[in-house]
Amino acid sequence: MTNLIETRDLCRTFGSEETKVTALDHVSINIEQGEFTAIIGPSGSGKTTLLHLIGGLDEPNSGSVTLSGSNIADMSGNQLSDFRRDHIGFIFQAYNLIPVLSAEENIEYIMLLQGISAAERKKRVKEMLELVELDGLGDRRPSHLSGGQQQRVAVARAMASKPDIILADEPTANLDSKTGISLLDVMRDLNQKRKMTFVFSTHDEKIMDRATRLIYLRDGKVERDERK
Amino acid sequence: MIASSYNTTGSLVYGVDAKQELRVSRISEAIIEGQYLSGEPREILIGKPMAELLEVELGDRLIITAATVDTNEITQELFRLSGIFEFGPEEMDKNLVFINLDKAQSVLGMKGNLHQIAVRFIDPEDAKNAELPLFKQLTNEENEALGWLDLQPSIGAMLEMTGYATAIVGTILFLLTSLGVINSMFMSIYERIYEFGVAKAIGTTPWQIIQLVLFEALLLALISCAAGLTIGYLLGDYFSTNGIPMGKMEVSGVLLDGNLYTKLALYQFVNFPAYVTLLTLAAAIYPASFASRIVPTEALQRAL
Repeated sequence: MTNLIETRDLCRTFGSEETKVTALDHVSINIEQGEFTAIIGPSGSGKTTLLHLIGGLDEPNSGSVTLSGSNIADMSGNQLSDFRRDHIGFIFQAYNLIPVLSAEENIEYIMLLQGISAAERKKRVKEMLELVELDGLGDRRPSHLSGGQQQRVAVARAMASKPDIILADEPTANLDSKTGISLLDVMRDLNQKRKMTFVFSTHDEKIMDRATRLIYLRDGKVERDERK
Repeated sequence: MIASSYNTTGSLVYGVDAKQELRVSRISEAIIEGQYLSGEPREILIGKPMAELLEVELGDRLIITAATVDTNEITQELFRLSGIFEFGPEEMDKNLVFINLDKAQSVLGMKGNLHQIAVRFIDPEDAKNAELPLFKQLTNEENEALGWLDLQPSIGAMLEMTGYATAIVGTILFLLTSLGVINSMFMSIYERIYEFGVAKAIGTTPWQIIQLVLFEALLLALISCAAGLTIGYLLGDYFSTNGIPMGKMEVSGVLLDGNLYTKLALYQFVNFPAYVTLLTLAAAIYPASFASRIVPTEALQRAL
């Protein structure tokens, strides 16, 4: 197996000198292609910050993040955006759908950025909506969807671009148990069939049960790293 | 000097060719009582304030006292008030007097001579062209032919100042417009920081964000220009036939009154929208650059 994600001595602090909070303290991890990894730990342990740094949404104070052999610190703003567009799918705890676009348009947007043809986009949007069991609701805007439905759209959006890695920040936190399990099954299925790599930040035992690897964070440090 | 049975006042007496004068001046339009000159020898036109000062009515006698041109002998002539005019500016209505040219030549001893001939051009622009051959042809040792700008330099200076003032006001308006555009674009961006954050997080490049904001600015400019051109054309067209009432004022002895008529020109519909579009795009560069530098993690905090 090859290392898809590699972090080295990753440090990230927030605030000024007096109010300084260390979110990550020399975190070094390797994640291989096809892993279904859960980063777990109490609130404030640095899970979300680690996901943001892996995805290039934030910059570390020190240390490095290497994705598919490329150090993201060496990438320009445009290169990093292109890399995120083509290789990373994000699922956020707060869904982060674009409110002025319909569910279909939210899913289609990233494919538009990738330059995929209209026919192909339409086909994939249909596939994704079926996959997350939202067929028939594609024309609704996020404000007209329930929390669970919005998270399904977010999952569909993350998968539509066929990324190598999906970074999911507490994806089931706002979902009821049944919906959460249903979505997790979809993601586990994709992981197994398409060898898509998933990295979750979570407290959810359902994810922990399904994960093939658990990385425990506490106070910004890796406390334990277990493979099942 | 002009005198009635009751009073006397100083005046500026013009002898005019009644028929030809109709083509170059608006005396006949200013008559409010009586009638314009018909060629009868003792006709005289005075302004309403002068008529009030002299306490005269139509048909009353008026005496003009003047010095002859050649000998400076004092001469007097009797007239009957045939018309009262009102141009508007009091200075003109209080001082001007019009009589027939023949009579004026006779009273002032000018023996068929004239001291001023007004020429009205079909194209008003010709009157400002000092290089026009006509001016040279009519100029000799005894006569001088000048355009109205040379005869009335104070009006020329006023028009020049008006041109500068228009340019300054135009520049200020353009600056205000650009500040308005920057403000609108920033408001639009601030309201959508979250959307931009999401868009960047899922792979929209900073350059694509810049393109998006500039495209929005272009749309804003095009829609504004379309609206502005439509409203401008309709108002311009209306005022080109109906005119904008400007009241009455006198500058250097020239009456500026009546309506100001707008004139639509193609360049106004091409150049100004082009300036506005370019200005809008230029004004949107900074907001676009700001939007492209939005940090996704900070923008996404707005969702929480």
